[in-house]
Amino acid sequence: MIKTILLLIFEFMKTGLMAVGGGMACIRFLQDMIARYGWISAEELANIIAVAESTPGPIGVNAATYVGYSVLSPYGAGWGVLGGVITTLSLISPQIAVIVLVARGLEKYRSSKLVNDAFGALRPAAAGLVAAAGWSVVRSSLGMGFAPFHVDLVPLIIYAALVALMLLPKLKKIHPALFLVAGGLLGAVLQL
Amino acid sequence: MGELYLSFLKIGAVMFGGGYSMLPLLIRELVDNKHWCTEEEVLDYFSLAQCTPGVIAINSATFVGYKRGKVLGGIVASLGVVTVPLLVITIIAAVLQNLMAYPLVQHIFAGVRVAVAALMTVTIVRLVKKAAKDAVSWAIVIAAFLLLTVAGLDSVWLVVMAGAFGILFGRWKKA
Repeated sequence: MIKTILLLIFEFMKTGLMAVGGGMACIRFLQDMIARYGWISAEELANIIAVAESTPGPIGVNAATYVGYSVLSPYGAGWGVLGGVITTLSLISPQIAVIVLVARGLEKYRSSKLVNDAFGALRPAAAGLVAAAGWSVVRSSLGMGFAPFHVDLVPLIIYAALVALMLLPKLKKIHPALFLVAGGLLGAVLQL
Repeated sequence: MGELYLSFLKIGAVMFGGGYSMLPLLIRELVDNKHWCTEEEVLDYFSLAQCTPGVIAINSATFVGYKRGKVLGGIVASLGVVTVPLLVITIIAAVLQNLMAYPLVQHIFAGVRVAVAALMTVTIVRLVKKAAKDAVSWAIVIAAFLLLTVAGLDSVWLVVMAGAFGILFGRWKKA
């Protein structure tokens, strides 16, 4: 268990330090992590993202807390709580250090050609990173990946309908959590 | 310091849907209520928070906290943001773990996951539209996606490679 805790600290510090592109980019790092260590399944992580999106707080922090809880809770609920605290603090501490350094040399950082050049490529790379995170959630939610060209039909239809609805300009203001509730109701009624 | 902590505790407790929803809350609390920063400063911190790694909300909080109370201020503000989410998520995680044994809850979550996939798809469409401005940035978006999904590259290496590429490309463009 000590080894798991140390790994959690290391992995979440790495995520906080490297995940350019905000909370959604953190999700991709979490996917890497669970694929490497097999701590939780892709479905569980998708559930965690759902909870993280529909509860208060930054998505990256919410997901980190939840993963920490899930990984250590097999040792007991108390360990789960500790796990959430450990992953959350590990995620935010390198970031705080980076920002303090940046804040000290704010003008230098802002006008640095090196930083601007790097972010010229990092911004689109972060979009690709988030797209990869989304792709793996799409795959696991639609039952893809078991067989090469298999996809569950009913979830696929619901998915396409929801995407189309969300892209309607009139529905832009609707709270995302309402779509999650709608998904949950459909899941219960259709026995997904 | 106590006031700083409470302000960010409040913001962390009412923000939904991640970093972007935080901006109006920051302006209301820090500019309108407390007069700690000007609106320009908040906008500036917020855009810088997106050009630094990690969760945007924590970066914004650290910037403001640092301005108010140096290193300790940065830490206090960030801890304020995570306090309520940490409690809420821990409780939900503990409750859900017990509920997951019921088939009904499993069906509900199967549906919720589909909605999450849809939500992420829409977010990605908007994000890519914003980030891909020209042929080079389109190529980077696509290359990053393929490297991660098809080639199975680790995200850390992608970030390192993209940063290095940006710097080299900047040099080359100038030369």
